[in-house]
Amino acid sequence: MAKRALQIAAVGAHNLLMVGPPGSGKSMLASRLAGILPPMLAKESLEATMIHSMAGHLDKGGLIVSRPFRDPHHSSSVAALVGGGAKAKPGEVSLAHGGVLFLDELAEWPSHQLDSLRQTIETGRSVVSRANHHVTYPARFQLIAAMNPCRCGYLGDPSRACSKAPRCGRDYMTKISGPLLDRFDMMIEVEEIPISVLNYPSASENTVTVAERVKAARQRSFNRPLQAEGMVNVQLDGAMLDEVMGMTVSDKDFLQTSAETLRLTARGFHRVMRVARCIADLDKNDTVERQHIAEAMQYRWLPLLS
Amino acid sequence: MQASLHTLAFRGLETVPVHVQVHLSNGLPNIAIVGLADKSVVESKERVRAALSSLGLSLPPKRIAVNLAPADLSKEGSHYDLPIALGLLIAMGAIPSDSVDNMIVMGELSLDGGITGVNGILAAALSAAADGKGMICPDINGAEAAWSGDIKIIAAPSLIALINHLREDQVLPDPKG
Repeated sequence: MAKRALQIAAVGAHNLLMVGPPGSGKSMLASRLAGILPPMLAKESLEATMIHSMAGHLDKGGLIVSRPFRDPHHSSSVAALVGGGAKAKPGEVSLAHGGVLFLDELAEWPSHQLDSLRQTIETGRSVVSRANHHVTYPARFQLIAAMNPCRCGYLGDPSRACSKAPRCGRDYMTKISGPLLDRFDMMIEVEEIPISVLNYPSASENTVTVAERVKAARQRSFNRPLQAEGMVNVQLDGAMLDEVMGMTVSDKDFLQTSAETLRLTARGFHRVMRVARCIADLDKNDTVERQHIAEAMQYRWLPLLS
Repeated sequence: MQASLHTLAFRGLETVPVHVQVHLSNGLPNIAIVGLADKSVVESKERVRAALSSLGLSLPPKRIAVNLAPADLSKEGSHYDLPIALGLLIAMGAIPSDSVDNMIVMGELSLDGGITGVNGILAAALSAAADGKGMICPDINGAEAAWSGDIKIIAAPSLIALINHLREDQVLPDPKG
């Protein structure tokens, strides 16, 4: 289920939060995401190269052609993450422009760091203030984060139940502020990998096949006239969403009732629509249908978080 | 004698045009760099002096003023070495003044006269292209500058190679080739 979620996130450049016990493969999944992302457009390539050049990270003038994957450690300074410092250099958020910013151990990040991220995620820009002027770097990235559900990491696992649950889990989760959680379009539970799967692995799709599928799905989204300039699904705003969904009245009613049942906010509502649009694209459908909405809803709510 | 060249200052990924003006006058030999230059730019003085000296060129026994205009914009970075050095060479009559017309000059000098790479050349080259200008930059950044499109690029590994190219004594290879 996690692999499916990653593909959907890759198609539309959605922000994804993975919650699961230690050793469930969250970090590995995140690094695999880099391998299935669609290729960069020329404009994205140029922008990313400019930023890396400004940061002094470009070696021998090579144009950046594969999407950047940045995974800073949670002990990074604010300046390293968002940009700034003595010479107003671009931070990790800008170095991830056009690619992925992976925050592992989300609960271990200092809250002021996560707060400084919120603005950047919403605007796609990082503003660094200097003494007498502001410097702005582009920072439009896909945010992937991973965390354990509680301090020991095994909340929800009956065989490892600890006496401090569920209170301990709730306390751990409250480290992440509501507004930040709201920035994630998709949230999934990653389950522990049973030893039997490790010992007797089943055949799984190889990266190339998956990458091709993701690329084809993203191309489908670019085939829509509204998104012809390279607008990914995550950038669709309310007015545009209606047009690109192409839903029947009965499917729209289904969407309405489900959204009301889950008590989605307006932002949550639009996010579900965007994810459903990606699922339909992966399914090679031009219109979004009930089953796509239903699947998208799954990724919106985590039982562990309530 | 005086000289004026174009270069750029960076504001994030945006660029601001900067004019490097070099003026020689009578007085105690000295180089003064003005125009809100920060420490790394003021240090240019030593690198330029050493680089020219390793070429066998001595500075004229004059009072040299280098102004980085606009004077109220703070200047940072090490890429002002090359435009300052070229400005001096033009003021000394060692290279023709029109050889750097319409070119953005950026590069850091090493003490032995080599031109070392600087950050942000792609952003600078895109800006130059938008302005209809060419680029004079370090050889190591030549390929990067070429990504900006079809602009004239002179990418030199050393000051002597650059001087010879500008005097049309020995042409440098095109980085796009």
